[in-house]
Amino acid sequence: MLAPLYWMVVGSIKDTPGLFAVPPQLIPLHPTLNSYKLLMQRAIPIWIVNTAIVAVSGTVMSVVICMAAGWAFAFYRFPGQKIIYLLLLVGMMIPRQMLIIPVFIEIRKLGLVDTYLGAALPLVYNPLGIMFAANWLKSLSKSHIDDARLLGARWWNLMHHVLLPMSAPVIGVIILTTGGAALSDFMWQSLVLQTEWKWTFQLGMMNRMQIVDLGFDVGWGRVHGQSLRMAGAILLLFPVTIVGLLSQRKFVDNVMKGVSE
Amino acid sequence: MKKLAPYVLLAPAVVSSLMMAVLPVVNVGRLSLFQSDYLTEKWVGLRNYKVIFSDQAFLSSLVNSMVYAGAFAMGGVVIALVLTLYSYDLPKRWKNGLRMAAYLPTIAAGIIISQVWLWVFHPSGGLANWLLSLFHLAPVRWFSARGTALAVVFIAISLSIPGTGYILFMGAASSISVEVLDAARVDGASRNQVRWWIVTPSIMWIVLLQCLFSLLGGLQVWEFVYALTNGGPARSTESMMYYVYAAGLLRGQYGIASAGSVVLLSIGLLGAALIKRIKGA
Repeated sequence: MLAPLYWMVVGSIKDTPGLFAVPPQLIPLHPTLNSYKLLMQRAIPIWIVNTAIVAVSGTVMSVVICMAAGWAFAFYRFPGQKIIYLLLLVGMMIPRQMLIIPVFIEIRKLGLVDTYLGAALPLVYNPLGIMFAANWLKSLSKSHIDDARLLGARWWNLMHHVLLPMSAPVIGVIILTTGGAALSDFMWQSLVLQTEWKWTFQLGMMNRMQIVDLGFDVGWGRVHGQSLRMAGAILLLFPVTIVGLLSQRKFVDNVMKGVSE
Repeated sequence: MKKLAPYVLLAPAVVSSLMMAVLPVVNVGRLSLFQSDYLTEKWVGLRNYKVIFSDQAFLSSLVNSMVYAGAFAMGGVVIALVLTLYSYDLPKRWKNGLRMAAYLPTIAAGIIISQVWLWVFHPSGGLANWLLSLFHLAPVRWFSARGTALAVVFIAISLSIPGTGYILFMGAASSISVEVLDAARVDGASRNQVRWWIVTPSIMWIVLLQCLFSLLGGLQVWEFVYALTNGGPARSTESMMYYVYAAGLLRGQYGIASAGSVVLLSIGLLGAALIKRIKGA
């Protein structure tokens, strides 16, 4: 299972003759970082910026929305509570990809095609995050908040010094799930972001890969398309991997918790 | 004003849920009854469903989706289970390392991992054909025929996804009570006997759950198909999700695509209901 990843790394640092050598070199004989150099020089900076814009804006909105919803469920009693809760979580049963057509039509009607907002908006709905936020905030001892109130804190201070620090794990989960989705999403972003300078990283890599089947001579050596592809894939893996690794422990705990319920 | 507070807090979440989950489902159902393209709409009742069920491409996408679901089951259940059975009793540090190693490929998006497989199955420079040549077999043009192309996607999927299943199973295996395992050992059971006759049945319900998850996952396969074969050759490797994508977003036949989505969603909801049943039991 790790073999493909290893092959990717190896491929990204191989020189051109080594890429297609027969028998294949399991360890590159003349490793080179030319592919990475070329990618960093050409289009990557724009792609990274775009990806950051989409991912960060989506994640921030998602955190705000989920925490607000969680707060409402945790600290208020109001009519319609159960129905609204179900309404919010209904999306968990439905795989998002299957709804891509109607969502696209909606976004188009809102005039948000080819905008960063349009790319980020679907990510904002994170039913898992809502569920975690609601449960977590409920379990937070209300006495902490009352104590702070007694000491004269007003709600702004309350937020900052009590609530947010204590909610770090949930905010973390929301960041990881929404952010992870933003970084690994391809289908939606390829639909929405149409002008090339708006492409995110994964769009750029996929769409520009087609042209690089021939070798490139770039001054400091030849770079072959295949190696570029691998290098790009590895670079794309970095943020996704970090997000994934960070979430691994939390993910496992929460999955087990969810399974046992 | 205070009374409205919760509703204000909930408003954005509700709007997002309506926009991204509720309304789309309703719209998909509605659109499936119309012949629709970018601008116009025309009521056609159930004709779209008749069209897709007589479309060869749709029917073969059904078959393909089953193949891909099988790949998900192969990787997510079989491989994960085997890995679990042979590593559940390793020392903790090994287990942590293995967990990370197994999980890493799953977080890489399908399109990224597919790049490697595209290279491995490259007709002239790829690893797969080189392996074949070691056995004096002729190189295969993997992407030129339906069977081999399906095989490529199958392999790519099943080797990329055992991670989540592995973590689930390992978690379940670690909660088997030590007494049971000790008793087995005292009774003289060999390591293999413990594996197959004690560990496996103990985690069976989670294995079943994972089976269902895998089947549902197989329904959603899109990225692997897009990256590896683009549905080719001649639309023969399309998954159901890809069929919907191609009909709606490549060809603008929203009505037909919605009909396909409804079929997909129904199967998915059926599976989800089954999962709920099993979890409850």
